[in-house]
Amino acid sequence: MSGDTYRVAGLILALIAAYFVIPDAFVMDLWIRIMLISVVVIGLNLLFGYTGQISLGHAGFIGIGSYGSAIMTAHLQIHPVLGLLAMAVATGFFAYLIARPILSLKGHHLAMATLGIGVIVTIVLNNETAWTGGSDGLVVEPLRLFGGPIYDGGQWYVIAAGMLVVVVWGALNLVRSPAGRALRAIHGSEIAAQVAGIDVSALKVRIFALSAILASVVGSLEAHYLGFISPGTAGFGRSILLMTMVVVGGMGSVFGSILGAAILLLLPQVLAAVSVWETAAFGIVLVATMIFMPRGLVPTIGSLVRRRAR
Amino acid sequence: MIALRTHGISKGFGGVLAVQNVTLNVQIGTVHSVIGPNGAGKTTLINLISGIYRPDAGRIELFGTDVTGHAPERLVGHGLSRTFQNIKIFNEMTVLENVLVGAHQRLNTSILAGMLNLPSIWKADKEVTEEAEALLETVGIADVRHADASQISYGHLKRLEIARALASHPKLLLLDEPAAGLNASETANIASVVKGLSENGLGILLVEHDMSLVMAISDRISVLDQGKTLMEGTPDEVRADPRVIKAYLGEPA
Repeated sequence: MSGDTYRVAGLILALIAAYFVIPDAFVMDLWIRIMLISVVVIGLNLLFGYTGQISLGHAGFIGIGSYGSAIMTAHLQIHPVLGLLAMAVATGFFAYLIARPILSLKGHHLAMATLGIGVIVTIVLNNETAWTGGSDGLVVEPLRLFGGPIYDGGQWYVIAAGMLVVVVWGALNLVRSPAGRALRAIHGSEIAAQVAGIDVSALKVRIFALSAILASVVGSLEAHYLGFISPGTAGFGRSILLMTMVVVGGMGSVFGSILGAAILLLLPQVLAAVSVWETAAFGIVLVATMIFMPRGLVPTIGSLVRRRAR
Repeated sequence: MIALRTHGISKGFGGVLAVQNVTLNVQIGTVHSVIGPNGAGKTTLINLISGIYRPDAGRIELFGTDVTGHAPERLVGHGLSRTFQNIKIFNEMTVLENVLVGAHQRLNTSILAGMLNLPSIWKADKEVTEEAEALLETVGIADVRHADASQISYGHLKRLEIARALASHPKLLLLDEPAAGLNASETANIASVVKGLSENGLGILLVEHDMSLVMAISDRISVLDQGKTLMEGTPDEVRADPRVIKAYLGEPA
């Protein structure tokens, strides 16, 4: 318990320190995007890393949040914050509805079904051109808080960091709580979990909905932050990227989610100089992680440190 | 008082009747064993009683309530708990956490309450943790409580299964071959734990191949053969019955 308090305090200090050493708008933008996507990855890690339920369509929920917020603020003149909340509720409800039939599937079947959800969202975004602008994308109004619009990177940094801290704190609490133990138990053995008294299907549905809500909220924020969205935001490639972030950072690790997000967003920047080889280097990093650290970076390093300490 | 009553339950798998018309009563405070040759339907019977399979026919009552066809997680509320023959432990959790999962229904398991870390959550958790440590003490594996469950020995896992099953405060415990693969001293430990539980008023349904264990701690024994109840009686009656010997060893040549 106190260990988690120190970790959250450490995160807050690190985020504050980072704010003051960020050299320019370019790096600031990168950090904001890392923090935003980290929230999605933490949600996906709760679903995949902790509970063992794969989803290859989570970018679809980001897309629903993004487009929902964009459309509501532009066409219905709804306040961005209200739009964000409305989309969070709507996405949660949608995820809850589709989750029960989907999550009764296992392994490859679950992967295919969630992949299908993501693909359907992308198709709708591409084809409902009257609302979404189709493949041309959509201009989104800025976020408004305390009366004024927010364009400034520094303000966005505070918003994204604040949300990240709250989500990290909640996730760390959750995984230690009875509900979190039940999630990990489902990962271990669904039959044994049921026999222990866990309503496995209900819990799977709830954690799926929670992870979808986090994706939707990030989608809404991201749309206002970027000011422009296109169907790629919900695409299959992005869903895969999210899963990769979970796996590289560490399945069943909240802080691993942040590290995974950071590495996979920073990698293209680092590799920009050798752009032809970018994809190849990307693949090498992934394969190397899987071979040498199959549990992901943070859990592997964590147990190394613990072994040294002994 | 009757903890468990099955009325003529049957279950078939693609034309093979694994369990046929089995009726048995387990009293609280007793050990009722089910024995029989391999393929007699013992594990299927336990899977039927614990809600993993639904019976094709017949009725199951727990403490007088009809629970036929209830999902496993609902049966916990009726006082049922079980262990598995082929160990089903939560590998990526510690030994202690495994036992805590057994107490699931006695805790606030709301996701929101967990995320907010409400005081009621960690207070209840502290109490249950102390109790779980006592359970690990009872089954004799308290020294490995902080180890990952994937790291402990087979004998420890078998006992962890029992500790986890007890964490829900069951009134009826189904044990599916708790001594399989254990050495003599580990088996003796299991025997004394099981006997102690029944003396404390728990009803126990025991499936086991270790005959000396069965004969030593059972109050009643049902013998299954090819899915049917061959006979039921005290250990002495079972030992003396020629039908039992025939079921195990075949006809004399």
